[in-house]
Amino acid sequence: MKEDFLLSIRDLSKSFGKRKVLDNISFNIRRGKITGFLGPNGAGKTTTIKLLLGLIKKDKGQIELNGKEIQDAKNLKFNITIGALLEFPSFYSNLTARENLKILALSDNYQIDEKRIDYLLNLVDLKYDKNRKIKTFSFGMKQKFAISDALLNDPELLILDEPFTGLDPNSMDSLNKILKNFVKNNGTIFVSSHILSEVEDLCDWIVLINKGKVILKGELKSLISQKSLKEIYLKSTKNEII
Amino acid sequence: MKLSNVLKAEFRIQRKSSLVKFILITTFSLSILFGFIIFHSSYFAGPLSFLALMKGYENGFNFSISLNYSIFNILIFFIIIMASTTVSDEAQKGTLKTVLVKRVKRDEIIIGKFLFLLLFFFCLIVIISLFSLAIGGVLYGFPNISEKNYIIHSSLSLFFNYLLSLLLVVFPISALISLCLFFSVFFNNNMLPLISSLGVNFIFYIFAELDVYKYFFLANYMLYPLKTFKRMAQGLPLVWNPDVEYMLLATFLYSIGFLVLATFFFRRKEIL
Repeated sequence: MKEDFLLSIRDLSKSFGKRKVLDNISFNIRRGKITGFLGPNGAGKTTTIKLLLGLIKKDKGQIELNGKEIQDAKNLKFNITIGALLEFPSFYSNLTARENLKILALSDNYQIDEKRIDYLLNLVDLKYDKNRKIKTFSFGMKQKFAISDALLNDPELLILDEPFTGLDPNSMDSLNKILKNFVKNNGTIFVSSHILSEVEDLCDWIVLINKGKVILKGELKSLISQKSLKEIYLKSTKNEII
Repeated sequence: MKLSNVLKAEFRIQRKSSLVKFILITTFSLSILFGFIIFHSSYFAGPLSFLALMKGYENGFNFSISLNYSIFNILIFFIIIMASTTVSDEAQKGTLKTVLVKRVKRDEIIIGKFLFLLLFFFCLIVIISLFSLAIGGVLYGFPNISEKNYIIHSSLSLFFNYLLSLLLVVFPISALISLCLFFSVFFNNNMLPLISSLGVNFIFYIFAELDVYKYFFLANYMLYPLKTFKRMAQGLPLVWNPDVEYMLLATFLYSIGFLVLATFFFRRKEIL
């Protein structure tokens, strides 16, 4: 049976000066599934995500959406509705949470929908903070706010870079539920994370990257049938210390 | 993507910005201060004689343009500060990344910021002009400027020429904004584009003093519309001389040229 790939990444490479950050990486993001993107610090996860979001340019390689090649990654966002959460998200600190979402809705070519803004802020448990300025938010609150921003345009694909960072256990649990619910409603998620327990609980497929190369990819269920994800991760990234 | 959405978003961002608040408060406070100085200097030749801008030429237009001209000199600095940091500030704070993952095109961000700045400063100048004109009218009225029985400028002609000078001032403002926006695109911090913009404008001012080359430099045209009208309002039998054509051409080329360069480089900018 032919697999249903939403996004296919083929031989993607990126260098900063002489330093090769991504070296011919290839993997697929399956429609309606959660694909986890794992790797140690500096492995190239954030660079891959920035490439997919068009923030930086690829040196070579192909990005295919529904089997069709997208020449410039900058155009990917015009071909599919993407919600993104970047590592260390930044917002307009002088403005309130609601005002920020209004601005971001306008930037996404959406008319301001006050009801949706309120719904999303309730969803991420910022109901009572919606009129507070972002500069008064803690890191965890900013992270939760970033999730509401990522869901703002009712996306088909969520690209999340370390979404669990800075969240307390309750918030992690509720984010887990939000993401599972998103996929239930035909959404697709590509998520990078260091928190292996969350990845194990959440993801259907994983891609493991180290030093700019994909070293392991496959269905999580079959991968962890004999070893735990932690063991696979540590062995694959050649870190023997447990 | 609708450009109006980018403009609306920019308006929402800037209305709470501390720099915009500072510019508004400073501009209106200085307008009141300059208004007082000009009003007093037309009566007291003593200690304020060096400020006697209007001695013998008291009329509402001269009051308004004298105030406007002084404020515009300060606004040039504010335009440089705001335009040269408009993109770099977002890059420094990280909000540029947040916006760029949305469906907005990079060109639209540049054009949206350019239009917002142009509208903001144009509106500021128009508001100051209207207020100062109303106050000038109450204080001095709008008599024809005449020498013996010869009318140099009728009040109606002065009014239309004032409107024309306000419309013409859009051109040098847009050229200056484009130039500064171009520097703003290059850097991810605020200091470097600000220093570059100030430095280039300072060099332009030096070259604009040279008779041979002055027509090529923006500084030669920055004050031209308001300066010409100021001379009219002070009784000089001037009309818009051929310099206005050079100004229109040069400032148009500056605006388009630097705007195209800014969008060209911004499209290629890597947001790390």
